[in-house]
Amino acid sequence: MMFAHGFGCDQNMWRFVYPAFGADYKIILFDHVGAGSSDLSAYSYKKYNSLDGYANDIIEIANTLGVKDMVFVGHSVSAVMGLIAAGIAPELFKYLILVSPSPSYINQDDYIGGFNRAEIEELLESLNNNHLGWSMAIAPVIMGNPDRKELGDELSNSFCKTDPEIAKHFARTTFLTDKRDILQHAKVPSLILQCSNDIIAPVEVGHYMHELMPNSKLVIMNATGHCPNLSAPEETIAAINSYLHES
Amino acid sequence: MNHKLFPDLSPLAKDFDDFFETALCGFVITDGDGKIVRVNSRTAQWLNSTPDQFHGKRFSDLLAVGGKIYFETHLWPLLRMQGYFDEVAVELANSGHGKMPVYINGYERKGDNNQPLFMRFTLFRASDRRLYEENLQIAKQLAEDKLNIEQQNAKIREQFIAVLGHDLRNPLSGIMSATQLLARTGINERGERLVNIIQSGSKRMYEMINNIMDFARGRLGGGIPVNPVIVNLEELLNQISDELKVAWPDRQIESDFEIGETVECDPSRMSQLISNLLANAITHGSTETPIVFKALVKSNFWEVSVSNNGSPIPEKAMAHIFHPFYREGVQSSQNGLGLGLYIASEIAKSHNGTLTVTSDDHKTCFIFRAPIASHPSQINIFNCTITG
Repeated sequence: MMFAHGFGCDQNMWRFVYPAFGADYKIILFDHVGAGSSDLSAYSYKKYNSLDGYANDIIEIANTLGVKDMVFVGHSVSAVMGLIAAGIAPELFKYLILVSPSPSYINQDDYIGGFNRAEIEELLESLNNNHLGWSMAIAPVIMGNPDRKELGDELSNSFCKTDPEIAKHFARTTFLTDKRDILQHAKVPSLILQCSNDIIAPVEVGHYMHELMPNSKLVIMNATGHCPNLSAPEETIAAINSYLHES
Repeated sequence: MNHKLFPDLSPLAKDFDDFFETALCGFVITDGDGKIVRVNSRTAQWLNSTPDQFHGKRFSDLLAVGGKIYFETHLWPLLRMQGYFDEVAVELANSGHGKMPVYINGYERKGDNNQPLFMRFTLFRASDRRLYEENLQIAKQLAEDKLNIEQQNAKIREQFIAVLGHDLRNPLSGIMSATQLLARTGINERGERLVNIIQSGSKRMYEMINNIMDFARGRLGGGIPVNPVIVNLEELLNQISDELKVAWPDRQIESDFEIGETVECDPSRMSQLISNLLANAITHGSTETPIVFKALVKSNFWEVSVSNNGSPIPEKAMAHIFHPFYREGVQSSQNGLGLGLYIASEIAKSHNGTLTVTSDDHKTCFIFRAPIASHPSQINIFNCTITG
């Protein structure tokens, strides 16, 4: 059972959820390249310019560990990475658990993604101007000193402090992605967990995905916000468990 | 007691309430799920609204869209994972006065069952500080750009030097061999004198060009390449000092070698290093006393030192003495390009060794020291004494 964190933090996002599955599954946790304790020097602006780069990492991890038929749990943008990966290498995936997923964050025609284009531009602009996040980028110092990891350790009193350049790029890749076209080809059985009152992935997105994905089940949770894995771990665990048992 | 002195002072609770509402920072309290329970007047004022307008909303509703997303993807998770976050820059939603930049701190209080009871946020206005940071950012960017350009230029200059040095060598070789042929053709005394001038001039020029090329190679390719072989050090050192004695027959070089074993080094590079040190000692040292030329081979290191009497190296010069193009004093005509010691220290480095200098009123002493391969170097102070 592989857990993939979304835009923002790192594998700690799953700390309240994965232990519940430890008895029945081999648990795989990882930080995306550019996040958490990953090797920042491995970050490639070319590779991670699209979600496919991340999807290939997921496949590589599974192949390296010799995993087949896994349950893939992806939060937010990682849910879509899971969908892409399952399209490329379906044999690796038994089920996809998509937590607060969204194939596209921007409203287009009849599709409600949650934001209009100007709002996403505003987000990217704010990140570009360093108007968001922790004061003045100290992180490039870490980037320039891969051999002095302790510099990074000192700074990261948090799990969500990312190198601002990488955060900008990841935000761009995430929020400008439109992967609505792959939904109808999704073959791996999928559970869509959608929160109520999530400004990042509104309920409409859950319904939209469920309608297009042939093998999917949609559960609208009582949990609010974008991170039910943190705000409502019990409800999240129960929803995943009941899906895995009935399937 | 105090309230008797100040009868007008509000009861503590009321005073505290006033502080909460009108402090120069914003306070926001949410319930365990993140729904706003209370917002102080200051926050509401910043948002051009009243506190009750925010009841039941999420904290992120106070923020501009960038901050909203950032809050939900970074800060909310942080509250749940580490219980707090601090000094995070966001912008308040635009409510007619533009987006106001603020710094926010937040923490979560958990109950006995480890469930969140409430969260508290503090907001600080940060318009000026943001401006200051932006200026800093611009200055940093400019400095980085400038540095990049400078580094590019430096590289081009060094490449230019390498090419120049290489291309100068060919015509010079032509001059040198032609002069040699000319010298053998039975010319008169005056001609011989002129040929001598040409020969010694071209020899110096040839050395300078070699130094330039070593310099460029050292800068461009990460050090001077060496081919270490097993060397009879005593033989090598005697050969070097003999060569210099021929060139300066009136100067005395006193050798003091304690060499029990062979060492591994590049003999031609080592000759270059040591003959540079000896030539320096001869040129700069006192003509009254001999140069002391010592060598010592121990089980874990070996060293060679050259000392001379005479006026000390000025303290100011000591810091730059191994830098390229450094020339002592102003009478540069005798000193060449000022690359000798730089190249010598690069050769030392290529042997995993060091070249150091001490200088006082009595003596100036250059010491080359390198570890013997199987034993890592130890720091010992080599006692550099002048005898006689």
